Amino acid sequence: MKLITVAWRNVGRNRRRTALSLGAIAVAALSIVFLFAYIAGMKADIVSNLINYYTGEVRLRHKDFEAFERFNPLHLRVQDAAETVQALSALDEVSAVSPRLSFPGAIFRDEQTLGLQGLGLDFDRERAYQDLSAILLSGTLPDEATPEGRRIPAAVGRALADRLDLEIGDDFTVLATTMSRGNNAMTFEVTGLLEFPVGSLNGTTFIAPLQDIQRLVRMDDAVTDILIKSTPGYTPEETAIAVAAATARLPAAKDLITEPWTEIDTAYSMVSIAETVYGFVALFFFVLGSTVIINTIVMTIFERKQEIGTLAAMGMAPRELQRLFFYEAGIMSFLGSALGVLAGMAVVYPFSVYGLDLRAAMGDIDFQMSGIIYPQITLGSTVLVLVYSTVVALVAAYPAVRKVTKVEPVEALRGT
Amino acid sequence: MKPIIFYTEPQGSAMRRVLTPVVLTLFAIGVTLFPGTVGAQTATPTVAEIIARWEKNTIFDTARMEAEMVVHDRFGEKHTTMVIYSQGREHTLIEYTSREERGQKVLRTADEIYLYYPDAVELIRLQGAALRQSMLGSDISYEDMSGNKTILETYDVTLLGEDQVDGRPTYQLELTARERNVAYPRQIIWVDRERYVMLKSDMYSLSGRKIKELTVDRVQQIDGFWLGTEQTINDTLKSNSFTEFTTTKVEINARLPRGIFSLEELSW
Repeated sequence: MKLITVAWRNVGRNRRRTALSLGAIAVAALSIVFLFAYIAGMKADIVSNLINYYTGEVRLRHKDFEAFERFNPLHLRVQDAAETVQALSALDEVSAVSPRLSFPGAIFRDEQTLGLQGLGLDFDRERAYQDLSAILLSGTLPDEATPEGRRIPAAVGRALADRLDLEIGDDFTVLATTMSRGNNAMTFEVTGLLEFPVGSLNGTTFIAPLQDIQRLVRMDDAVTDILIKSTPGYTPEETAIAVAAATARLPAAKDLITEPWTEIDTAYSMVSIAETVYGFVALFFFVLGSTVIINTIVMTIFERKQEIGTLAAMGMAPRELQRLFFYEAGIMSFLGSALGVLAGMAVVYPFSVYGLDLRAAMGDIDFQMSGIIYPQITLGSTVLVLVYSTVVALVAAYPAVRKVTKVEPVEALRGT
Repeated sequence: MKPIIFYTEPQGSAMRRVLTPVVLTLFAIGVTLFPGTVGAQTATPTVAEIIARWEKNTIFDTARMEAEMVVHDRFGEKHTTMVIYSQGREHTLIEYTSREERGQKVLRTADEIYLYYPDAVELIRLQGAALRQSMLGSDISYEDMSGNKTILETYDVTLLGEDQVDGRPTYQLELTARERNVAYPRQIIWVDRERYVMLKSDMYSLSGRKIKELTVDRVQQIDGFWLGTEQTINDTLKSNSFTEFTTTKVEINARLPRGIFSLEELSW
């Protein structure tokens, strides 16, 4: 009879203890499957937010803007924006271009000064860049409305509207610093409410037509950023090279920097670091789960001492005895891991559809991650968990398995 | 910005003074403590006498001034020109005339400050913490323009002694706020003993930290008034920044358009 068959039968001899061993590994595997799925969901979410709201797949901006960003250096800008956007749109590597002008502003209410963030968008180009209607909670986008008088149409983040006590049709006047560090103010009318996926955007940001924001901060045909999406088949790095070559012909090219999102310091790199840390957490989980298997093997060896003595007396070599118990540990590890992975997938699935809502906990934290995360099961991480947990359990069980060779047949048969 | 004070030559009791809007607010206290006439004094006056004389000559009925403000910061210089109208202690109107700010106005009434921007439908009313906003990115805040009480109503004033500022003999005075809701709880000022122009002022927070410095770089006698025409202000809380304020033209007792200090006129 093959050793593997004997091992399989032995695993079933004490079903309660086997179930305990499998359960320990399964719980560890389930937890890690969920953790990895959550991290995968976070990473995908951050990438999506970066591309839509922060960096694009490739970002073009003034090379010194980031260093002085906290001083609102609007003069460190991308000039001749219209011409630049047109040139970039013609590139094969580029599928969409979004010129943007972002600025901090203030609203004065009674004795309070309330800060907010304005974002000027070219709505025709923005529609090609992203589906803004997906975040439109109510009302209309600014380019679809015509407010009365000198009011400028604006769509406001839901949480910002709550903070300012604004509803659709209400006015708000924003004081801003101009490009040359003067002041200007403009009155906006709320045409729509937006539900940005990122809490900090939701609580601070409003969007309005680019040309009006340019007039407010006196920037003529200039923007703070141009965000670019790649044509499918091109990597952000390849697109960045093409964009840099195209902008090299511009008069102010020496002042500009073209960066793929992968080279910009964002929350994504933090999550990637966290992923490595979580890898060690997973190892700890599996070692912890494996202690139950180790315990099971040690107890089995003790209980089956006479049987081991008999097998040894009948001529089974010590190495074969080791293999037998190793197979038993392997079967329990694999089954436990497989069960855990399957259970993990079952637990993750509803969250991957309906999301894990952390908005209340996250609030307006300035992190480029959405308040609702949709965990993602990936084949790679699932197989990794299966193999990882099995191997860790086997390695952990190996020292216990070696004890079987120390059983003396004669003493074992005597029952001592 | 500098405290701009104009002194007439003594004509009986007709000695009068005018402050630029900014100075009116920021430095009115210090600057106007010593409305003086050149050579009018032979002995050190008491603080009470100084204050009394200042109070008597503090305010012009009307004035019109043209000024330029240059803000220096880490990114370079920002030039802004303006016309300033004032009436008594309580009313000041600044109309910006530089290209980018043309049409923008700041109105200070007895109790409030309003900002008018041609691109905005409504006026912005500043009060409370909002007054701490910097004026056009300068080292001057709107808070410096607020307040309409007299110095003695606001501060306890102590004569610390005599000192020299850039070779000029000065009186050194300490101003300690009687109330908590003032921009500068404590100030030390240096006043020219002969021309009664403030040459220097240090402003401190409640915790004793120096938060602003003002120096008068040039004093001119215009139409009989002593005027600090060039001043430098440094907000010590802002790094790499200082503001120069220069008065380029002064018209005292100017004829001002009717209703110029009203909210109705502000947006026209």
